[in-house]
Amino acid sequence: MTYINVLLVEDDKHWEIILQDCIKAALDNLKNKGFIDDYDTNKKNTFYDSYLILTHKKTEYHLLVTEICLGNKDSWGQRLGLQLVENAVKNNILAIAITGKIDLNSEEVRDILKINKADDLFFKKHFSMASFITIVEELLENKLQSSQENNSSTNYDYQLSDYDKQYLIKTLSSLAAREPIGVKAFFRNIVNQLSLPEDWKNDIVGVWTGNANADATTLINWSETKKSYPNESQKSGYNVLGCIAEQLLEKTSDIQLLGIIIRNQLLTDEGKLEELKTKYSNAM
Amino acid sequence: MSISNFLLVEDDVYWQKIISKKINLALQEINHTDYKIHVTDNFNEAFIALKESSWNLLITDIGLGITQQEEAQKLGKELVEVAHMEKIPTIVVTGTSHLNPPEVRDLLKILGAYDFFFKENFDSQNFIKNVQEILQKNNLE
Repeated sequence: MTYINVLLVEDDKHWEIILQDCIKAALDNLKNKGFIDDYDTNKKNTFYDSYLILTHKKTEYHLLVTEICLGNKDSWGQRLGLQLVENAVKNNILAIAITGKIDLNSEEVRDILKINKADDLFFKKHFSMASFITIVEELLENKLQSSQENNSSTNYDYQLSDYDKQYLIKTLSSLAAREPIGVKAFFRNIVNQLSLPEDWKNDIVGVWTGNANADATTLINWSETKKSYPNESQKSGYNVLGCIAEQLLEKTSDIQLLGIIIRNQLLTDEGKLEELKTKYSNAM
Repeated sequence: MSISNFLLVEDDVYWQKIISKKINLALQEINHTDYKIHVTDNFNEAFIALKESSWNLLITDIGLGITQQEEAQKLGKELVEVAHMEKIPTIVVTGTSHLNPPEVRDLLKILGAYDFFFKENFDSQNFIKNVQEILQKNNLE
């Protein structure tokens, strides 16, 4: 499941409508072509709110579209939108800058594209909806294709989609919240059953807060960084996220979890995978 | 390392010398000694050279020509486009009066120029870095 999140930062109501409409058109095209399953556009009109979103990384964004001069006239000269562009680029998020409130000179345009590394720049004065839609589509299409190529070229180096990740977190979190022995004990048990190498276990000893959602997010994020077990470990060849998904599948019999395992190749043991498919085939 | 061929299109004699010298410096720094810089001051010759020979890098001015009318045609943009089609990396070195902001965006994003520099505040260090980067990429491909 490929879910695209776009952050649109524009403090002019008219341009917010125009840009949102164009983004929607581009993403609908990608959806019709089968590149993505769904999308969401988060609209913000202040630098502060947008900066927090990009910094806290609670949601994985794929594209930032931002006006360069945000705020009142006194702050236009600060080009706050460029700080958002830099933040996005640093986090591997595509960034399109929009300008209209001031006349940038040619050198500034060059710097925005070459130094700030915006993926593109549009001028409201010369704005073409058709060309903006095409660029958004092209940029996202290229990004999705290269991410798919990366996934297929590196066996265990999967990139979990935002949707699948959120699904795992939600499942873990709701099981933990219902656990009679308590949230912390639930996560300790999950980790115990993973047969992790000692130094990995030490990584996550004492990190549990008792907040089901926060702890579920911590565990999934941590597992993503670990990828597969080291060669000398008990579960060599398996990957940590696959083992968690397998536990969740056994606890819930939720067929969507089997889908996540298959889609992301989380279980590298083909025999085990066939066993799971047979076991849950009635539910498929 | 194979021989590298550079095409420099510039109608100002002083800038021909400045840019050639920077290319020499860029190559010396990376111990690249096998190269040729072909300098031309006119569009027609450059156009044919791009089509008929093999180049590692095009460096071009935008406002080419002797009269103001010729300069206003911004023929260098055509060369950038031809180079893009021929998959030849391009660096533009031009005066600010030749390019407005949307044209700068189009050069970099549509016509595929690798980078461009204004003569008014020519950043020679960055120019040298660009030349080296392009050569290194060429060698990797």
